[in-house]
Amino acid sequence: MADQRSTIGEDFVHVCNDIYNKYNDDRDTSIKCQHNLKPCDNVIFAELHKGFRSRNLLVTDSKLQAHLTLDSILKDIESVLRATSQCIQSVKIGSYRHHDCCKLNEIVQSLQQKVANIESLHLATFSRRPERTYGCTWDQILQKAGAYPPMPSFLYICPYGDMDIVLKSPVIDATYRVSSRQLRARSPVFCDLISPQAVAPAHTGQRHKLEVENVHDCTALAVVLYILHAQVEKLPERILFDNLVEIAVVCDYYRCASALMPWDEEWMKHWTRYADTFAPGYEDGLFVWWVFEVEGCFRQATKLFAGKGFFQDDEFMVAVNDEHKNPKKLHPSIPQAIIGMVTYSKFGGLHNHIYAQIQ
Amino acid sequence: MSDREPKAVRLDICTYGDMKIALKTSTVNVTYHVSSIQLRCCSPYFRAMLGPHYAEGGKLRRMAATAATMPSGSEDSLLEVTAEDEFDPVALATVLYVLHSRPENVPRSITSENLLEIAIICNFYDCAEAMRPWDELWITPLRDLAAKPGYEYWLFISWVFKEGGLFEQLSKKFSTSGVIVEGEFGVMVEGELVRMDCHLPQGIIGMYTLYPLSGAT
Repeated sequence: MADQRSTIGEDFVHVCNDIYNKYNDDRDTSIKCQHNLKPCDNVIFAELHKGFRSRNLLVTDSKLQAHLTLDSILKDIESVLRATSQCIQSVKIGSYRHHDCCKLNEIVQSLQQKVANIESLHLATFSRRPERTYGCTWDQILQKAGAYPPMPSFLYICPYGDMDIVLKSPVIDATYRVSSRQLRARSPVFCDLISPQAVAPAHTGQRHKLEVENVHDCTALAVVLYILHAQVEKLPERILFDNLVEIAVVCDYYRCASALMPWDEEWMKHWTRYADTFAPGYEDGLFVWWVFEVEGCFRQATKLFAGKGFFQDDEFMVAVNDEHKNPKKLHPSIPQAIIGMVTYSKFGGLHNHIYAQIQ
Repeated sequence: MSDREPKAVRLDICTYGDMKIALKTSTVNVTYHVSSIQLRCCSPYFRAMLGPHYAEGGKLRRMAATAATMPSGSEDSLLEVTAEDEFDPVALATVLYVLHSRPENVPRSITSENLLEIAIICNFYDCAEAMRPWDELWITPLRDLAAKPGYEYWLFISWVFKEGGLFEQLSKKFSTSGVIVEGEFGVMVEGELVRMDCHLPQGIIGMYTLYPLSGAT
């Protein structure tokens, strides 16, 4: 029977089989760079899934890209499952591409009926510590990853762009091709960073390089750059709250939050309910509402945090539970003025009450 | 006659634009200052036009090379391309603002007629995908109009913005009322002929003409 699948699909199956065979042998955990897999990825994944043995299938690939439909990915995974049906008890699927986030969730839902254990791990935000590290510490992961050169990643945000922005971190060496004119027009910070002399003449093939500080998430930076260049076809309709926070950090840094309209509204609408109801893990909402100027939510969150806040070692903390155990700090990017405002709304009322009585 | 001359308007879509789009209508002559790089990224039409194989692309490169050697570019040093005079000036501005990521100037709600004008431009420049998610914001409150008489052009809107469900619904509805009169495609609405083929591609019109035949077999 002729195989109807595309070349990309076949390639994907080979990759999965390669990984499966390598892990099945349990001899070589540092798979060589092949089929678009980088040594760095494999080591990190091997570390993340330390307990991984022959009865599991690990699908980790850079192939989960926009040009592959969800159906084709599912078809590929299912064909691997069929081919190895004797062994597979669990599937772990991971990716580090920002637009795979929603896709992964959908794949997990679709595969849930077919495989007993399925877990997804979205490693888009490699520059920060993931929630779970599967039996090894984050430092160990970074140490292992550091043995290899940082993973090179090139994103054509604007294929005809005249500038390459470089973001270097211990694990990723990301380059974004952009239009310097567009960045200067949409962000006052980029306008300062890119002098008029650094703007190469368009369509001449000349390009300048700009290295930016490694202070934000590489995926979030990509998302913001995509929007600033109106390249929106790769953007997900829903994103995780943590991703939203990372995007807010980038927008705050480059002062370009207004350019994200209406994407910010679409993404925030799923999380605005946490503005007036305290939920652990959503403390950074205050920062998000502030960056994207959601006045109602910001006011509600300020009031909520004022009630939950207290000082510990001269730092403003928010109590997650009534016993004040494991309190959370507010997001480090929140300016002091806002913390001042939150603390004023907590103490200001009491202050006024006491001094009104004295007078 | 001089007092009826079209008014000249300049719109800076991109602050650091390197190209002008001129739109001349009977009432207004608008010059849009835009970024050629941005247009090439967002529209296959401009990608081809400003590429190395077309006269405009060659001119743009020569101008860019000249500008690189001169201290400052003057107004005359910008490439000017002409937009179709049938375009609506406001709709063209809206499309260009979206393509240059300037959401602060993009309206959140528009009329059905505005949407048609935008769809005509997006279809011409092949840039409907770059309108995401604005197209959805505009279409959602107007969607119910599509089924009403007088809004037959929503077949075109749904086709441009790839509204699959709506397109299927309308194409089914019109498949029974579609007629070819004097070589032009139209639909009969309450006994009146509404011409439809002004913007629809030949493939869709062909589909309509074939549909009754395939249905009969």
